[in-house]
Amino acid sequence: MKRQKSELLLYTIQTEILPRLPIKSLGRFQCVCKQWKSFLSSQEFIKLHKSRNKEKFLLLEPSIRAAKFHSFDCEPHYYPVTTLKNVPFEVKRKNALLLASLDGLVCVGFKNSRKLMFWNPLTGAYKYLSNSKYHAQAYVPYSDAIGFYNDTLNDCYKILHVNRKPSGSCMAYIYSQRLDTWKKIKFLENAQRFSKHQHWSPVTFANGSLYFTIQGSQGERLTVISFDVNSETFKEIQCPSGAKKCTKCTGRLVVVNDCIHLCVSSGMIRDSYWHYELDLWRMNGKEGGRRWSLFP
Amino acid sequence: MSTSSSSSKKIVLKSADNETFEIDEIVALESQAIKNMIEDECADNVIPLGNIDSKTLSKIIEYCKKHAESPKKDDNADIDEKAVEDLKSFDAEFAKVDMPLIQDILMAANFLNIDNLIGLMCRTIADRIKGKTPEEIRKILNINKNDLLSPEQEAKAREENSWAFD
Repeated sequence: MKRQKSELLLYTIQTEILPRLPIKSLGRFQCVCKQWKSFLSSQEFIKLHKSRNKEKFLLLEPSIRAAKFHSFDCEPHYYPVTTLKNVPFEVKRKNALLLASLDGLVCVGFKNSRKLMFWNPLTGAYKYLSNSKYHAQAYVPYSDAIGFYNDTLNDCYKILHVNRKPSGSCMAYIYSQRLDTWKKIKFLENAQRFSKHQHWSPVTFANGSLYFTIQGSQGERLTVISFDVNSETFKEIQCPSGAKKCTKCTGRLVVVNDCIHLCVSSGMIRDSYWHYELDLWRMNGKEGGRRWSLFP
Repeated sequence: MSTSSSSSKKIVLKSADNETFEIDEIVALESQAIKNMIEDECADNVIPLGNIDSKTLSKIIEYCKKHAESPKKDDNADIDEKAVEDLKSFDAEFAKVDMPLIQDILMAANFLNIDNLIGLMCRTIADRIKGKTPEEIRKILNINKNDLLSPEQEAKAREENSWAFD
């Protein structure tokens, strides 16, 4: 009876308590006993821990200025702790750009070498993504779109890279962390029409798709593009009709309640003054948009 | 020891060490397991709880009484904040007991299926173990000595997770 009870207690501790703990404690607890070591490394535990820690964010500056970075630890609930740590890899002045992050992993792009890297700021582990003949076009800073997502079907982290050539054509590639290879996929038809669009937004993930916006340098022709991670196909999404009419508008994609929203600030000249409006549109299903709320 | 108040229906719980506790039915209904027994009409006047000792059971009854008295969240959207704060500080005080008792309460709450109490005990244990070293964890949770890593395995695990030890 007593033995059964303590086994049940340890089982409850494993499944109910360990998933609530900060990552740093879990790193130490790998040494507690054999059972914990194998349990903490299992896929089952990783899923449990992720489902309990959805609301945590990793805040990042857009670039690493020197060979040090600030980590901002929100895990102790009473007060956040900031520490200054050394970057484990070589960084020359503002050379490294932090492009995307997911589950505590960061995708870093290098301006000079044009390489991409996965980096775990907590453990210090990092890995350059391999190049391959299918991914001949290296990453171009400030120009290419990078999306970081988890392919749940194959249980694997992936990178979507949309590369823009000076000629105006676009190429899309997917990197698989499990296979450590790149493959080329089809981008939208006649992508040349985006060549004059200078601003590509950061990529946002929601409901099995990546989303990003493309916009002209003068704030015209706002376009939303989605990428379905299962079928690996792109789709152009009709912008909310109101967002097209304005002379000057900027779109930002945000995720609210697992649903993608387009936040549009639009300006027009009235009585020789610029008037700005902010609209929030919720994407209904995968097609089109619907006006959600308006802040005059 | 017995606890009784108004003229409402009473339930008697009997602990492993044969102590009986008379409580209002509404208090007993905080336990989903007892609620099911009553609804299925398979509860006698006395419900024996052969795996819960009287010390643990009296703590659990204290918790259920307080929670049965407090307004439930789903009853009313605008429950007064004072009641919520009151319940919070009760929970915080309630959890200030030693680790063996917390573990006993967790196991009993598991058996009786009292969701809020399971959550409170899990949060309490999590808060108490998160800053600790592996040695301290083994002591607090009484980890089986036969399941320890060999010195070589432990050295390797420490090396691999050195980021977690500074």
